[in-house]
Amino acid sequence: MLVLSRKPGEAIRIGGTLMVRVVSVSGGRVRLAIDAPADVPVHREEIIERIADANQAAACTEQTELGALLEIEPRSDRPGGGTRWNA
Amino acid sequence: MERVKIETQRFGTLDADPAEILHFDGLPGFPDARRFLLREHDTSSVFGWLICADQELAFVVTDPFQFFPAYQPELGPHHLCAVGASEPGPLELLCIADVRDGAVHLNLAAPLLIDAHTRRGAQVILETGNHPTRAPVRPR
Repeated sequence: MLVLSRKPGEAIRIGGTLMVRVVSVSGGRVRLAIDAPADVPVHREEIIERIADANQAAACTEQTELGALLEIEPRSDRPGGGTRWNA
Repeated sequence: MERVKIETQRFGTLDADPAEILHFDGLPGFPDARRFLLREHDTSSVFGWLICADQELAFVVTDPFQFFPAYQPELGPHHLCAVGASEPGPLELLCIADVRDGAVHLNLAAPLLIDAHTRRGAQVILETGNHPTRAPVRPR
């Protein structure tokens, strides 16, 4: 892994389109300004980890008991009539 | 085109038209899950299955707007790019349901986007709106 030192105001460029600039450093906190194209998602790592945890919790095994699903009715009707599961 | 046979423990052998297969670039927590099928749970159910063809993995999914009519996911260009869509068009939005101990929660923070034309799908992470990862559809 590449490790670089930067001062506030300095930046690094990643490829031709990404730039990360250090805005300020204070109290153990670094503020970064990130320039990325509109089609590049930028997320805090812990958000992605939270979604990964949620996915792992929701992943069904062969044993997952799903009886509860059959009793659930939607609270409102959407015009157009729902999802085509086998589309 | 030759039909694809997918072996699963829960659903047995699934027989699919290759055109049915949805292509994901992995999901958070499941980076190698790439090919999926959407199947109904039961003919009258509002829930369906997103079944992975690459590994033993399946999610219960549903249309979140049926349960949360006020849900307004804000989609940006990077969300649409994730499924190869240049503009909002025939996109389907589903949410993963966590079904455990009789309780059902939807992940509204990271819905699944599926482009019906490109057959590409992605789980997108919403930056705005403060949507919960566990919105109760049916509390325990």
